[in-house]
Amino acid sequence: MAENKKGIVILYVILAVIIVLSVAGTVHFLSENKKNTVEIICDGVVVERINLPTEQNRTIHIEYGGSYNTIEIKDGEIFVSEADCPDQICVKTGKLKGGMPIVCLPNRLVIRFVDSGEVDAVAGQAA
Amino acid sequence: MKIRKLAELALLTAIALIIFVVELQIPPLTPIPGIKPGLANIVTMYAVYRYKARESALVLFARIILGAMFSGSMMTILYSLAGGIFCLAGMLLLKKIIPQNRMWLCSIFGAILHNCGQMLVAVLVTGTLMIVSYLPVLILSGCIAGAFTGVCAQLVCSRLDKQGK
Repeated sequence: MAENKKGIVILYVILAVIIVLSVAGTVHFLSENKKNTVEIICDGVVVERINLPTEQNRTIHIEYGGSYNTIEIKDGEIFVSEADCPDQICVKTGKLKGGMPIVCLPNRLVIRFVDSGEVDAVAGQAA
Repeated sequence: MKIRKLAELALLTAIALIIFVVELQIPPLTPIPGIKPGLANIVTMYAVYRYKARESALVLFARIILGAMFSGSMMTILYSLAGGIFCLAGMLLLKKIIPQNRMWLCSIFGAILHNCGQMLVAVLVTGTLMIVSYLPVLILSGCIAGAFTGVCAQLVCSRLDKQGK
């Protein structure tokens, strides 16, 4: 097969750019953790907003389409303690930290840190 | 479709499914969800380079649907399908530029496209644009996994070439 040298060089350059951007994005993603306010979003609707450090220990039960997630707040940390979704990724994610939200895709649940004053236009749009 | 071809494609699908099911047993390498080696895509890569577009699509989609049934998580099928379509379309195009001795490069692009497809579905399903910030992490892991599966597929192809198939 005749090598298309030019095409390959272009692909290498594109790949290099993607990798550099991803590394930058990853570093940014993992280092972001100065927020206290947590939003619990179910099916695009903000169900609850919590100021985590001052919140008392309690559990929150959220149902969606016959399935449930039990969210626990304990000593200023939040995590999903129980869910009936098949993959259990939300439970395995553990405590919410950094920029990575706790997500339960089957039950359309997202738990994430937000800026305390942030008006959430994105989640509000969702149908 | 010739019987011989049908048998070959069925064999490829079976191999891919076996790899897929075995991989399910491997505990996650990182606590971050969505990151996995995707070793079954060695077969996809092989099919892309050795068979017609239509045939490799058959192998891929049969594996995704059967794989979802085997693993008992039909919910994830939407993500796998979106990722699969993106990945396959991209690789079939790139195959025209990238020769077999650089399959790993094609595989990396396939992995990146796969991640993008999955992210697109995730954004549509959750209605949360925020999770896109997670995409770089996925892409980075996809590059590593894609390079690995690509090198494996390349080795398979070059060895089969030597044996005269």
